[in-house]
Amino acid sequence: MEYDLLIIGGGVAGLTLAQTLQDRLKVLLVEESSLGGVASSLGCKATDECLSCGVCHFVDLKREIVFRKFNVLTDRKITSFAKSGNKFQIKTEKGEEITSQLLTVATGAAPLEVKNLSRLGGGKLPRVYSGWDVEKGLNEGIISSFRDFSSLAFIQCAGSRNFKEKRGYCSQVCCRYALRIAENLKFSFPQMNIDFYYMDLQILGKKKEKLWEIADKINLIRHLPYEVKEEEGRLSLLFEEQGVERKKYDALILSVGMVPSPGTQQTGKRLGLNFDSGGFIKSYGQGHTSCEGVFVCGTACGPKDIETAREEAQIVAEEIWRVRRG
Amino acid sequence: MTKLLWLVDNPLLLPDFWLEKMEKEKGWKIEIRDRESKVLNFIDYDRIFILGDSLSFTRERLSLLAYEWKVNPSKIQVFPWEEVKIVFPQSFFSILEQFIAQSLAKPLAPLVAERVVPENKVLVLPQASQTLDQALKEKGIETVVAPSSTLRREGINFHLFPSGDTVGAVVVSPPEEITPPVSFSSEVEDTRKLVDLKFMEKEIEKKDFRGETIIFLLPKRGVTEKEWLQTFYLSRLLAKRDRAEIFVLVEEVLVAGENLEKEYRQARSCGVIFEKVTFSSLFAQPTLDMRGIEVEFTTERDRLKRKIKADWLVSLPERNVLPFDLAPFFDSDRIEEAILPLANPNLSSFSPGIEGIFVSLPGEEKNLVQVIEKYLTQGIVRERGRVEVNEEKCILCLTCLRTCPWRAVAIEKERKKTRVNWELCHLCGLCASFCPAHAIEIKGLSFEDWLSPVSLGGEK
Ligand SMILES: Cc1cc2nc3c(=O)[nH]c(=O)nc-3n(C[C@H](O)[C@H](O)[C@H](O)COP(=O)(O)OP(=O)(O)OC[C@H]3O[C@@H](n4cnc5c(N)ncnc54)[C@H](O)[C@@H]3O)c2cc1C
Ligand code: SF4
Ligand code: SF4
Ligand code: SF4
Ligand code: SF4
Repeated sequence: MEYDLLIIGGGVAGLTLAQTLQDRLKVLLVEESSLGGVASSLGCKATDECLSCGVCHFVDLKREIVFRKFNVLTDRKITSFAKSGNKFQIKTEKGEEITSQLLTVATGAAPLEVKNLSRLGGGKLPRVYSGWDVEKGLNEGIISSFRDFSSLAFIQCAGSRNFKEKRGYCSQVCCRYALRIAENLKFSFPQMNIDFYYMDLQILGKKKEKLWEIADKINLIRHLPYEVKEEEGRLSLLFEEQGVERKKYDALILSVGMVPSPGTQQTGKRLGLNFDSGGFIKSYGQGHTSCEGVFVCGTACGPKDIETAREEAQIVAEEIWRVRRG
Repeated sequence: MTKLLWLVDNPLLLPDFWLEKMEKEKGWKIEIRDRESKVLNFIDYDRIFILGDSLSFTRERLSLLAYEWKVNPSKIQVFPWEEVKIVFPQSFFSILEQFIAQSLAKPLAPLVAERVVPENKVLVLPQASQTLDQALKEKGIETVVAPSSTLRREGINFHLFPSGDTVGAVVVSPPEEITPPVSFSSEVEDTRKLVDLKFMEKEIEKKDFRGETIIFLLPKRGVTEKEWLQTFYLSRLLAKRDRAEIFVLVEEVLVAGENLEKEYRQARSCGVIFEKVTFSSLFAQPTLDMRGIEVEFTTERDRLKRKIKADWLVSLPERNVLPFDLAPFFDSDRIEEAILPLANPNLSSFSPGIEGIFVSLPGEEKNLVQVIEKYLTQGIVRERGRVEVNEEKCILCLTCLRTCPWRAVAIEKERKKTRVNWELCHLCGLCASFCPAHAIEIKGLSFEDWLSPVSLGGEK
């Protein structure tokens, strides 16, 4: 099978790219599990009003896809890449051989696993939740299971903006999703005491004003705690402010950010692409990578939210179209 | 023979024995297809049923499918099997049978799903900002500026008086209120060392700031990403090229953007000092010789009081969008009240809740223009003839005018008759449910169908 463009990864970015180019080029999308990527696990964060988290844009995209004639191979792992002349040859584990003029890597990012944050109690202490778990549970009503907590703290930048661990970047979405979850908690349990440990508030995009309003409602503390311990059945949080201070909470939410997904690391390595300091595939503008004919978009080349990923994919699509036309 | 098509997630749900039974007993030739399967000729079937979650198949979405499949929308029906299976597991098949029989018994209403594309032209009220103007130009969208015209709806478009133009969309560019992050006394302004970002951008090319002290002051709200980028860039350049001493006083630093973060780090590594301060504690006064400004503040980090003599104070204002009244622009029988997204947080940030009217907020012009372009080029899919007012029954109480959230019901000025503007109707059914005279018909579906997609009458 020969194609103009092979897209690897069927998350928001890959799907948007396929959607934009499907009428103009012969496009194939290869996805190792099922379509949707990270965004398909995220939940709606509306209270009695929509908080513009952007997740339903993705739902719209998926709906559109269900009934479209996309060339998609799901459940396919790619086993080998080769380049002959100016064409790429790809083999999948199910034996398909695909030839394509251009490649786009849209293999995305993965949420940081909390077990890497054991100092903050991640994966170790009870009632220490990962923001990712809360996100996944939103549609199943996880918020109501927080009913019995009278105090709760968010710890921002959990694993992000940390140069020591080679994750010096800001994950861009966690401040916003955490504020929206905080609003959900406040909405359901107005009495709950919510503290928010953070570095800077990264408020961008839609509903900025509303997010600032939420920020005014909760207790902002500009410190990142360095340790969480269990004491007398509560979670004790240690941070520095005129000496060591500790504060106790019933539950914690670690606002984890993104790390390059295993697929991104692997695909990048196999294709010999350059990486940036955070381990994401380096984009040299408009989706170009260090290898000619290979493009990158979405969170594979750095953290971003759904809307930005969509916008970027549209820009990369135009660039691919320009390159392909010559 | 009646040809029926069922689109399902899992073909095993409708077993062969049942299909054969239906063909023999009822004369229904039922075909089953996976929902994701591709090449199909939908026109051949008498009815198309979707076995699926009724909530995710809204009427709007069904219209879109009807349009894509080129079939009469009243041929498509959703059977919410998830719910039915839970409630009536044993009688599932008899309910299904009844559902098919009922929908076949109803005559098909002559409906068409059509794509309506607005005129590729926009009116900007009251006036386009430079960035908006540029963004519109880049996309090749023609703009009309006529701040004192009145609008009347014509289908999906707007007709303008007195110019006679027709536009497909109206962009409201509400005025902004600009306030400094801290209030400065007139003495501070008299030093003429209190400047804005634009001044610095211009001066940096001509002037050497060697050895000078420059303070940037950025409020946390209303500063655009571009301004943050500019601040990072300028402060770095001043620190590196001119070895000037640079302080950036902020409440929050914005880094959530690819280049933002890079520029921020570079600025810091060039010696720019970013200090988080509480603006309420910030105080500025001119130096004795009136050649500079003395700025006093408390750092958030260690609560220390600091006093810095600055040669320049670059201050970025906080911007807030002010409400804008759309009512005076409409020539209609209904009071048009646009609710800006600021006032109604349920609306998306570009929409005041009226089809074809968009709100431009500072810093988001590019995204907005993308949305408008999509709207103007792709338009929307609507069903012609689904909702209609029976003029004989109508008592002209105007309830429908007031209830329709999409302003799709209009009263014809000359004839004084109500009419549903099908291009705007989102098929929500509200008007019909409120009409005291039962004058509004939703064709192809009875009112009960509208409320619950399946009738479960057989379970007794
Ligand atoms: C905890 C958390 C909360 C978030 N909250 C929000 C929010 O509220 N609002 C918002 O706008 N954004 C949010 N985001 C960000 C959002 O999830 C991303 O912007 C978006 O999912 C990015 O899509 P993508 O296509 O770039 O990558 P992904 O969604 O990661 O998709 C990558 C796809 O590639 C596939 N793949 C990987 N490797 C291979 C391979 N080797 N071969 C084939 N296929 C492969 C994967 O299976 C996956 O389907 C959040 C992210 C996280 C982690
Ligand atoms: S934007 Fe987010 S909060 Fe609003 S409806 Fe969509 S998913 Fe829900
Ligand atoms: S978005 Fe907020 S929480 Fe996430 S890394 Fe950036 S600053 Fe930290
Ligand atoms: S609500 Fe019914 S009776 Fe009243 S104006 Fe509308 S159509 Fe006529
Ligand atoms: S069904 Fe009636 S109320 Fe609903 S959008 Fe159409 S005209 Fe308006």
